Amino acid sequence: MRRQMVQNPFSVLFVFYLLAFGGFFFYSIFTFPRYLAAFLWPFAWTKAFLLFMQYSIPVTVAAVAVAFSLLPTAETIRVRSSSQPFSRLVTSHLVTFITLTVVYTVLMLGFHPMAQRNMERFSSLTLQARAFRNMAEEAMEAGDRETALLNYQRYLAIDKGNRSFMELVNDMQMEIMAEAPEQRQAAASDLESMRIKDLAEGKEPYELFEMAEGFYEQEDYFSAHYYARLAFKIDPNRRDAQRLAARAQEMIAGKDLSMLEAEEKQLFERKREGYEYFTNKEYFKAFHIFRELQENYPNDADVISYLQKSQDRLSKETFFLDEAKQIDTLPGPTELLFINHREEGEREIVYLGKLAGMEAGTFCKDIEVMRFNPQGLLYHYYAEYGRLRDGSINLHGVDRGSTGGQSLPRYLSGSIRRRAESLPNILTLSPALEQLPSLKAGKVASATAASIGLFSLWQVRSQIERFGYLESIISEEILRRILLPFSFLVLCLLSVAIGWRFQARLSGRAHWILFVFMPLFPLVALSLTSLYLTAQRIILSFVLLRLGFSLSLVVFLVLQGSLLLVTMIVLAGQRTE
Amino acid sequence: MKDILRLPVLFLFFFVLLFLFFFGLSLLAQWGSAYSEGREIALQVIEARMLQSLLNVLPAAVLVSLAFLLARTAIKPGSRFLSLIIPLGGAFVLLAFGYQILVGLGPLEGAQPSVVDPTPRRYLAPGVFNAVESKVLYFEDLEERRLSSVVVVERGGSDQKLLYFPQGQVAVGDDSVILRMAGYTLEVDPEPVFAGMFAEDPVLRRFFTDLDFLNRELRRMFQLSLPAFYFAVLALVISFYASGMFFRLTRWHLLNAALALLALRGFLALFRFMKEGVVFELDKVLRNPQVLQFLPELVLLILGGLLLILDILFVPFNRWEEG
Repeated sequence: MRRQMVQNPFSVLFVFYLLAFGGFFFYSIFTFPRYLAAFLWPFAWTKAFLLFMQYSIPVTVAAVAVAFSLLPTAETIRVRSSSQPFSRLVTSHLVTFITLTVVYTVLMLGFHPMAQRNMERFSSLTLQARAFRNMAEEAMEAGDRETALLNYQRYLAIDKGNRSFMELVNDMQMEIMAEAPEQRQAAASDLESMRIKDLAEGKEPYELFEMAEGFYEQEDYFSAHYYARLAFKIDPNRRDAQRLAARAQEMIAGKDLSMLEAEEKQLFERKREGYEYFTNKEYFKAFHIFRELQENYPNDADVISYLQKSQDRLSKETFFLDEAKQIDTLPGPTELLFINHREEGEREIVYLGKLAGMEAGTFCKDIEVMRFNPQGLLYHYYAEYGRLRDGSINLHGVDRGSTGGQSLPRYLSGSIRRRAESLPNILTLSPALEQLPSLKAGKVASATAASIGLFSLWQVRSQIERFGYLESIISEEILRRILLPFSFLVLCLLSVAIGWRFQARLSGRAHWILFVFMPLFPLVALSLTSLYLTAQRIILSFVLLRLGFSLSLVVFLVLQGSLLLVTMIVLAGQRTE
Repeated sequence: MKDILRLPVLFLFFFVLLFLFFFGLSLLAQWGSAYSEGREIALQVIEARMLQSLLNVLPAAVLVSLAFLLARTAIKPGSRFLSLIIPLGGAFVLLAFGYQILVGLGPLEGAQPSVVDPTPRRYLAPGVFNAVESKVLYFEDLEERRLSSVVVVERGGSDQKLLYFPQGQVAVGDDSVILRMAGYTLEVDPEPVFAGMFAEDPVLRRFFTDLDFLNRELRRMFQLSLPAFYFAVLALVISFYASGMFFRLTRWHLLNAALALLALRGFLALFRFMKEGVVFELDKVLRNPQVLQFLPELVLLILGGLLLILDILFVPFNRWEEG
């Protein structure tokens, strides 16, 4: 074993890493909190990774020190490589340490915040799923099975693999359908009867003519007229189609012409009504009329055109609640808090319960806004959902399914003042979208900030005071993070020197009993590395508060450079004798 | 015989370096804790607490210097007798008499009212969000003890998250900061605004608690009587010195160093455990609890003495030169 160490002391490091990760993994399994069972394995991997990163410096320091303390004594080295300075012996290892530091930096600054976000996701989605389940159970108790079903389905959107709930939802769906089949069938047949089937799509004129003949023989003269006219319209040379249309027209005229006229008139009236709503900027009502018409007349060019236009205009002024409600089951930053405006002696504080992006856009929920000035509270309102677009939150949600359903801000105070504003349902935000996740309720640079990447922190730092946070605290967090890779390298190199200085003078093979003590090394290294990091943090925090961020960065670099230099000197000073 | 000179010089060198380093860090942390009140106040706080800081870092500096010296003598052993007398004597003199000298420079904190009483600004900053336990507090301005335009942010499951109060009052007590708004009272732990930036790593929290306890206990003994204080210092020094045995326990020196550091740490923890655990419990049972007041020191002394005897009898003094 010791001969192998000479060739590669990093085998010890690898074993330490493996054991540490294994230990953290099992620890994570046994400390799994009361999250959804579906999150057990993702949680275990993520938590193990986070713990591994948290303790990677002491584990590395311990492993390197142990590896170099177990290297063969000077005699053995002299046999292999003649007498040479210790520094030359470890030169090849230096490259590996630098590579390790780069890997550590990437993992710590890149993947660690992502894993932290994952952990927050497990927590928030579990809470949300439980809320859905509770709502479903309450609805069941109240006998409202449709609401219960909806909430169970939302629960399943989070806890996808939960078989018992899947079965429950299936049973409920079957029961609901079985209970009112006649109503549903009647409603379906009504809808079908109202709809003119679009069978013509993609058909050639001769096929349309054949269809028209078929309908004519079945005495369905309306359909025969429609398809015959369509065939003639596509191919004006088809006089047979024209003649068939005329015959069908005669038959219709001979029966009851008023039905067709009534339908066309009704269509025209509804289109006109929708158009009036559209021109009066009542896009929501216009949208509903054109959508209803589209169901009945899917090929009507006017209907298609105005439905699209009203939907476009609607999405600018409102959002669809069904889309917004998807946020409940999606991961995203929670409890965002910031000062929105600081002007004319007024303050506006905004609280966002959750923010998440999806295909339909970026949405937020549980929005609470409060504005005040020295004289008192100006307004305070709450909105359940909102859509974030172009730096503003639209607070007017509409139910796609019904004309009556909509969500507007609920005023807790000062509604008159707010409603008098030009856009009462639009909340214009000072922070940019990418800055929002950094503004977590009150603790920007603490444990909650661990999920925010270094570059996001860096970007938001200069403006964070505008949003109600102390800039120095976030600057300190940045310094703390960039301190870690430097400390990793310095402490690794120092532990090489320590390991070599405190080398084992074993006469033969190392006794197995010595390896029982292996867990002691990371424990000792943990305290020592923490002392090292704490001391540096105190010094850097002082410099930061006293001299500001830019100068503290300079001091930081000088300090790290000095420490690295001292470490290299210590390393170079080790002897092989 | 070079040890007669080398050991005291080394010991003093380690001590001065560590004492200055710990003292500097302690001052920076004190400065940071009062910085939110303004630079002037922060400097006044440092000035007022300088003596206390010196007293607080003295035991840590002496004991860590002793550990360094023990490691040094293990690596380069000289005279066994001198290696016993000089570190033990030096540590005792530095700690016992150094403490007396520092106390002689001025009154201990607590003996007189604090020179710089904390104002609410130490714990709460206007115009920014203050995280106060599970809530967040915002206020526009703070004059004396009066807060204006206060917003409390309730987190968690409450329906209404933001609560507005036109005015509020803040009172700073010894153990808490109390905020009173109309019909709403909030009592929070006094944590300085910038405390988080100067706080120790959570891993070290117990270690610093043990050190704080050691300082309190030394002060208590000092106030009790000088012989009691000397006895406590002697017990500490002997137990820490005896831990040096672990530096020479096996032929694997890194393991020795790890064991020695753990033993040193263990003595600190044991000292607190004896006082806060064992003595506290025995206090309830025994009729004359006065006899227990020296129990932690006595236990340290006995353990230290035992380790010292084991060291002299069984552990080779020049282990590092073997093999």
